[in-house]
Amino acid sequence: MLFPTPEFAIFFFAVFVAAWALRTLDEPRKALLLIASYFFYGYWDWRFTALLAVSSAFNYVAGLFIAGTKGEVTRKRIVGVAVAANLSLLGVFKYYNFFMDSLTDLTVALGIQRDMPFLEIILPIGISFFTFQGISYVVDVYRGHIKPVRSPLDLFLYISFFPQLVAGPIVRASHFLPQLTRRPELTRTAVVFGFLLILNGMFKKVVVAHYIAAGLVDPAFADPTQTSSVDLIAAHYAYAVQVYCDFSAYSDIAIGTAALLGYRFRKNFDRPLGATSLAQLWQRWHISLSTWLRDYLYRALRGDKRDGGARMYRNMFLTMLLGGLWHGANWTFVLWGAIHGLGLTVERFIKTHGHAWRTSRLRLSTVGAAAVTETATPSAAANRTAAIVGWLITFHLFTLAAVFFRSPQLDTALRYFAAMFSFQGGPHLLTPFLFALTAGAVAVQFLPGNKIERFAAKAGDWPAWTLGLMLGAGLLLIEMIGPQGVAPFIYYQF
Amino acid sequence: MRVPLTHLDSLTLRRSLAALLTAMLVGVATQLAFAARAHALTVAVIGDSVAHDLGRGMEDLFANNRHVRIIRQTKFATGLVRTDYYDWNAVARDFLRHHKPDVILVVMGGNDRQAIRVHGRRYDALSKGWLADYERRVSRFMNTIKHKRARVYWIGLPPVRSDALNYAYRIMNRVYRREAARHRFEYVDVWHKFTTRGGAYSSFGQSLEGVKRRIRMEDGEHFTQVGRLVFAAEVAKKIGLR
Repeated sequence: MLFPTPEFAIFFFAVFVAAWALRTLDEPRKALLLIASYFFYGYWDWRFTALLAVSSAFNYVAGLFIAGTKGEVTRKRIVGVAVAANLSLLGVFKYYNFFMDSLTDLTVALGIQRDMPFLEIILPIGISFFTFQGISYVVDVYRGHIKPVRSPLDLFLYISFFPQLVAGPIVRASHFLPQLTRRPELTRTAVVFGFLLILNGMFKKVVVAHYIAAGLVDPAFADPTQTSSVDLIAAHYAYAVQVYCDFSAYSDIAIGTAALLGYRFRKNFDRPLGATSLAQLWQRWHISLSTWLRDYLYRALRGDKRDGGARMYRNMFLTMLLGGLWHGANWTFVLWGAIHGLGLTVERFIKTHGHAWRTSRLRLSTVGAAAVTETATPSAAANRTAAIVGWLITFHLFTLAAVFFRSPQLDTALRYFAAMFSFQGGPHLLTPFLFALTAGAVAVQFLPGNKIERFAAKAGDWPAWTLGLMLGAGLLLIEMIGPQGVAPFIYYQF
Repeated sequence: MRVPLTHLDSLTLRRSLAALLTAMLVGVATQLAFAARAHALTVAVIGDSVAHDLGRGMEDLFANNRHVRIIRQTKFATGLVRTDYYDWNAVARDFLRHHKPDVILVVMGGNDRQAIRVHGRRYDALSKGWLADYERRVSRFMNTIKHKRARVYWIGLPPVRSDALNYAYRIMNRVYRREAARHRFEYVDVWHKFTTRGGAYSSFGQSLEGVKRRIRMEDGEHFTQVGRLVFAAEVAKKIGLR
């Protein structure tokens, strides 16, 4: 069931009405939301609801075991087994055939080819998201950040809550579970905030991402060898915009629907295409994943030791490499992660050593204190230039790496780059409208953030009929100006 | 009066003759090269994204064969139902007029399981009215690509992961087979090449090296790089190109 479809609208309306009718009855309300979430998931393929239930049950039991065990070594073993079991689930369904295929490549190259035992399995939708939520729960219990959940209903609902189930954001147990113990409230501001986020998401997905994908990105990536360089250059920028609009739209709608049901999710995107460094980009792009990787992977790689030097760079690179692989079982994603990992380590190295170099210059300076202060504070113009250069490098690294992210196979990406840098042919796919859409979507990244929150706070006092009219007219307008049909969200496949 | 050739004159003459001979050899070689190129069999692959996979596979398969030249006219997310979005009759007519291929391979229909609207009436996919109209569309397209000097092969749709789509594809393949026979085209059935012994869809199959590999993409419809080669080799074998 896709968000921008009539099926979801009917489903959500029914859940919304029933959930608020049961607002004073905590347990029945949660049971209703759980049933709705399993219906939402089963609508795609009911067979995988069992997988979701088994995953939830396992993490529930693991949490209780960890909390009920005193010895540190045993606790560590239990959490290790729990994390391994979660990763095994992901490994079997997502990476097993990729591993077998890569092994076949290797055996063919060595001339000792054998038939590998491939498994005819389908990747269950949302498995990467709910598995990561399960891991975060057991690790947080182990670290003592949260207490284990006694009610299975709460844990099952946390793992399967439908707004975030299939494509995130990856909600943390420490943030969501306490909300289940409080009685949800539907304030006017929360309603306006939810409505605006849904409208914003719908516009980004149905209008911007869809037009860009159908008119430019899909045809260019379908056959780069038969596409002109100008179109390929435009399409690689456009894809960065498309993937941002597509994924942030899903997050917006997820956060908006959760808000309408009385729950708060944290922001998942914060104008990432305007980032002036890679570190900043990853603080603004898919925030729930990048913070997850920082807290559960980078921290695990680092251990108890203080990070620094080559070890820190290695851990940073490995985190991004595995983060790339998380997106899909394909060498294209591994390369994408490696590019970002390498970029981040180089950026960190330059920043660290550049800072050390500047500091040593200051120490050596023999001129007076005033002169030192002057040297230490770069001018506004220098800051602006550094920001522009930083943005240009970050943006282009992101868009170029995204070619690997979008390509179904490595050879498609290589053909894409070969054709793009052949500098032949004029624009055929690129139209002024698509150019304006792409450029406009990048330009709005430089506007101040929190616009929706600020507007929601102001519009909270508006009469109900005005708000209803605003949402209805907005949805109608989006439906009218968007192209026909609805493409699945990009992050569904992850 | 006869003037005897000096040593210098004789040297110039020999050089001139050598240059002339070289020029003649280059000319003959160029002519031969052009002749060889002219005799290369031009194979056109036409159709949707599945045709794109076949075309790419054929390009790789015949990459080192100068007797076969592969050309492609493929477009993703198109078919014979949404002529308002992409008119295959007009596109194919122009393409074939311009390239004049010797062999035409068509794969079409992967996106056609959708309602047809004719004069304000809507026919649901695979309904009686839909089948009658779809048959007319297929026939019209076959008339467009029919050419005296080109052999035309209509490649049947391969199976996909979705049972609902497979049900439709089987019915549509019967339409293609029937219409191909009527237009004296050859219908090439590839269905069983991509199923298990039990007849079920499989993402895996034997590569050209004889090793079990992933041949279908994660979407359960398109072909991987290895799969494209398997697809192309199967078609090439069935039409006598290999």
